[in-house]
Order: sequence, then C-alpha cells, then structure tokens
Amino acid sequence: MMAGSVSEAADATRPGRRWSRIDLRAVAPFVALLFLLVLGALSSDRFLTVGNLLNVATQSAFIAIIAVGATFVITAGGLDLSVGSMVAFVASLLILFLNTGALGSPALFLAVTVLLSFAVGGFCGLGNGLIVTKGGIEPFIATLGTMGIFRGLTTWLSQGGAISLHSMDLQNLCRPVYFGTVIGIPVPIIMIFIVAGIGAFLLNRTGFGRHVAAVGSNEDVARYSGIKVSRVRIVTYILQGLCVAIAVILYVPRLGSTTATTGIMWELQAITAVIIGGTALTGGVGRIWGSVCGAFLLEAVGNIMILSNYASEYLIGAIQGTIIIAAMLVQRSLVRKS
Amino acid sequence: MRTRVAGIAVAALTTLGATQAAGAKDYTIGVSVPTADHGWAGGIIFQAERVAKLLMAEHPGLKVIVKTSSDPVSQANALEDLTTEGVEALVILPIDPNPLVNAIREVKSHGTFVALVDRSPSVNDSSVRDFYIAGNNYGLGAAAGDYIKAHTPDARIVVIRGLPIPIDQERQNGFDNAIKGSNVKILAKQYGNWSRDDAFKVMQDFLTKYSQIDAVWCQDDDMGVGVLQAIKQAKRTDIKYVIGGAGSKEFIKKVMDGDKMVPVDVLYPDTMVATAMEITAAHLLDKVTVAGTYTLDATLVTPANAKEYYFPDSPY
Repeated sequence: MMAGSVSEAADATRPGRRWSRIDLRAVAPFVALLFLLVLGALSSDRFLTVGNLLNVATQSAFIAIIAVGATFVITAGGLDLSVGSMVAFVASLLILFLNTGALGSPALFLAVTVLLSFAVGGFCGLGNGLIVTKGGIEPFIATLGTMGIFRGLTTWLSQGGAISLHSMDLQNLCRPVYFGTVIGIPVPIIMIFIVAGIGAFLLNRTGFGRHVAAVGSNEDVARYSGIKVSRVRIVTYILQGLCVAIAVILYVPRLGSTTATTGIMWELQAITAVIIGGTALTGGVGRIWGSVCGAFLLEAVGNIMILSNYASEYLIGAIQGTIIIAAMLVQRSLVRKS
Repeated sequence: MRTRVAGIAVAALTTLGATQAAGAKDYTIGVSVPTADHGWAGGIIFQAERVAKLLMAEHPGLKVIVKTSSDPVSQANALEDLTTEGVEALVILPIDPNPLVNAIREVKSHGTFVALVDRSPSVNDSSVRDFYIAGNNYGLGAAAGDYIKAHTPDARIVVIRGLPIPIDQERQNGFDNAIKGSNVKILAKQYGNWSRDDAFKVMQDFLTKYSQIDAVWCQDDDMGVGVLQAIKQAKRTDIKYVIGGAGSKEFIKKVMDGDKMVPVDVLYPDTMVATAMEITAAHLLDKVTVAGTYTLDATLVTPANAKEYYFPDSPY
C-alpha cells in the first residue's frame, strides 16, 4: 500500500514524463468507454440512440454521484463501505418525514426535506470520519460496522417491508426531480455534472484537494508538512455523506419508496466505478471525471447485456465480469505504453 | 438425617408434580421465522405476531413466542433457546432448510410437535416434522400464465424473474407450461433480483429494446412497482397490464380499485406461518389429527375477492 503511493508520488515529481503520464491515465477510462460503445453499437442497433444513452446516463446517476464522494475518501487513503446502506437509511428517514405532513406549504416542506437530507447524510459521514480518525479503526472495519447499522436501522424503520410516500400530491410534486428534463436533458444527468464539477474543482484546484491527495499519498509526510490529517479525512467522509444525500434526493422521487434491499451492493459499484476511473485504491491520486465515466461504463455494460440477444439471462453475470476486466485491460495497456 | 432428605425429596417431587399437572393445560408454541430482510418476510412476521395475539386472547392457557433470526446459525441457536424455555410445539420457517434440518430433528427428539413452513429440506418426512405447509410456487407461475393466455391470447410479453434459485425456477416452469402451445410469445426474460430498483432498470431496457410489448409478468409485486414506474416514465401505451405476485398490500389495493394496469394478482400468502400456528393450536388444544402436507393455493386475486386479502396495516 505504502510502496504504491510512494512511487505514485515519485512519478509526479519527475518532470518531463509527468504530463504525458497523467494525461494518458486520465484519458484511459474514456478510451475504455469508447471501446464499450463500439461493442454496444455492434450488438444492438438500439444501443446508440439518444434515448437509450440518456437512459443509461440517468440510470448511472446514483452511482456516479456517490462515486464522486468515494473518490475523495479513496484518494485520502480511506474507504467507505456504508454508502449503500446509508442511501437506504437517509431515504427512509426522508420518506417518513414527508409522510408526517408536518408543514403546510408543499414547497417549503420539500425545501426542508432537502436540508434534512443533507443534514442526515453529512452527519452519517461525520460519524464514519470520527470512528476512523478519532477511534483509530481501519476504514474497512469501521464502515463495515456502520453499513450494518444503517441497514439494520432501515430494516427496523420499515419493519422489513416497504416505506412508501403516501401523499400522491407530494409524489407528483417531486417526480420532476428524477423524471424532469431541462432543454431535453434529464435532471439526474445535470446533477451528475454539477456534483462532479464541484468535486473536480475541490480536488484539483484547491488547497484542500492537494491536502486530500497528500494524506492519501503518505500520511506521515503530510502530517510533518503541517496538514491536519484527521480533519482532512473527516471532511472527505462528510463529503461522501453529502453526495449520498444528493443521490437520495434523486432516488426518493423515482419510486417514492424504500425497502430493506434499497442500495444493496451500491458501495461495491461505487468503488468499482472509482477504480475503473483511474483513482488508485491505495490513495494519493483521484480522478473525479474518471469515476463518473466508470459509473457510466458499469451501467452501459448492463444495458448492452439486456439489449443484445446473445446472452441468456443465466450467463449475464459472467459476461459482465468479462467485459469489465476487458475494459480495464484496454485501459491498463494504454497506460503501460506511455 | 435420612428422613429429612427423603422429606425434601418428596416435597420437591410433589411440587414438580403440581407444576406438571398445571402445565398439562397450558401450552407454549414457539415460532421461529427469518428477520424481515425483504417485503414478504416482513409480512410473514406481521401476520405471525397478529395471529399470536389472537390465539392468546382466544385461549387463555396458550402462550405463543415469536422469534426472528437473521441467519441459519442464529436460527439454530434460537431453536435451542426455545427448547430450553420449554415449548410443546414449534412452528418454523427455516432460513435455509438443509443446514437447519438437524437442529429441527433435535427439537423433535424431545417430543416437541414440529410444523415446517414454506422451505423444504431434501429429507422432508415425519422424522423432521409433523406437518409441512407451503405456498404453491409452480401454481403462482401457472396462474399468471393462464390469465395471460386467456385474456391476451396473442400477447408478446416480457418476463422479469427473481433470483436464480429453485423457487424462481418452479415459478418459471409453471408459467412456461401454462402458456405452452398458445400464441403467447416471451420476447425476453431477465433477472430483477426481486428488487424494485433492478426491475425498474430492466424494464427501461426492455422498453428500449421492444417497441411493442403487450404484457409483463414480473413474478413479484415489489418488482411490479419498478415496472409500473418505468412504463409510466416512458409514456408507453402498448403495455396492457402487469402481473406481479405474492400479494402485497399496494398491489392488492390496485386490484381492489380496478386499476387497469394491475387487473389481478397471484397469492403466495404471507399468512402461511400464521396458518401453521392455527393448525398447531388446533392439534394441541383440540387433539385433531393434522399430520401431513398442505399446499396453499396460488389464488388469483381479482377485484371480486381482493378485500379478503387486503391488510392495510401490514408492512408488505
């Protein structure tokens, strides 16, 4: 883990090679995506239609937005396995809150709900961050624990069944948040770009972003350079929680309900998207747009499987796995050539 | 000294005898079910607890304990706990029947009456349980297939399956046999993992792939929620109806209200543990013979009978 991050850091300081390397690595996931788009076009004539691609991009929104947060956490050398359960937990709380019908004016009510989502998401992230830093527990174990907690609380809140938004008026009022479009582009896609834009700015253009990379690259060096390591780490987990909150705000309007299985395995999809996108699992290097591309790529694989005719429903998992590995190999060979 | 010891022993025996005599009229039924990890299981617990209360109110001497467990190991522990607490009968819906079969035998070896629900181990005879009760998975598929064949004989349909496990396969076999030889054509089948979100995505992709779909069979009401939303979003009017299954309150309500998109539902009753509890109580209290195997029908729920199966307070 250490060796990897140190050599990353060393590469970055080697002038001359630096630019060509970084560029290719950043471009690699998009080349892999291109390869997949060609594959998709060959397997179904309906794949490369605007409608379908917008659909896939919309479907990828939850994972893409969560992956933006995960990029921060992983770049700082952490890991968050609790995000899938956190989605279910935050979404359940929001629906229960909406069902109370506490506030008269619907617009004000929805605004408060959005704030509540950010508050709960941020608070869950803060909890993860505190357990990892102040508690000194490995992120894997700490967030595995909170994953169980959030999932359990969701199951308890729903009594194992579903939590559904009762009021049809509220359901219709918030439907456009997921199903609406602005100049033909679905709202979730716009949200991906807004969140990733802010994320990329934070990570690449601010002092905080440099601190995140430094902490993930070498914690001790970062500490000696006067970086408040714990605080940086905690903030990355809070950012992750806020990203989950945004995903939830898009998620609730879609089906207007949660169940005990909401968001199951999303943490793995988010982490996979981040890694496909070129962020190092060992920390130190983060690529926000790569993560977004990774999320789209994962979703596109599933879409191609269903649109094409050559995979029986029994083989889909195996073929999906193969395509993901193939896409990664394309990407890696590109990086090695540089 | 000796007489004193003997005296105590006699006294102890008498008390023991007394409690046993009192216990002859009092029965305890232990109920062991999985934790609510999905909607249907939540319904199972809700119905078990509802009927437990009713049974205890009807029969003052009867005690019913409902315990939930999250995995086979903790369910085996729960069985031991129940045995220690002293139950005369056990009603169990095993999380995974094969690993639990020995634990169930152990309970039965103490002379406890055992009712096995829904999931059958490879050996399922009187050495394991006194009676076995389950829903009809094959029938669930067949009922949906029959309905589609009868109402839309030339339908081109898509199928969203659950998870690749035996229950799912039985349902699919029932469906396939029901439409065999008819003009109903399955355009595509895909797993939706019994999840609303996954079914939503699969349905979106099906809608992209096929410009004309007449009906959808999605095996389970939870997945039906996702399917309906995907159809609504795509503003497609070619799909005439969606058939789910299991009997969630949301879908039963739609049937009751005459929703055109959900004309019927097929039951896989989440009341089956409760049914087993009632049968067990009948055996303990009224000494009727109940040994055997019971299969609950995969009843077709229509607007005419939907009311009977509607439990608005159930989580499922």
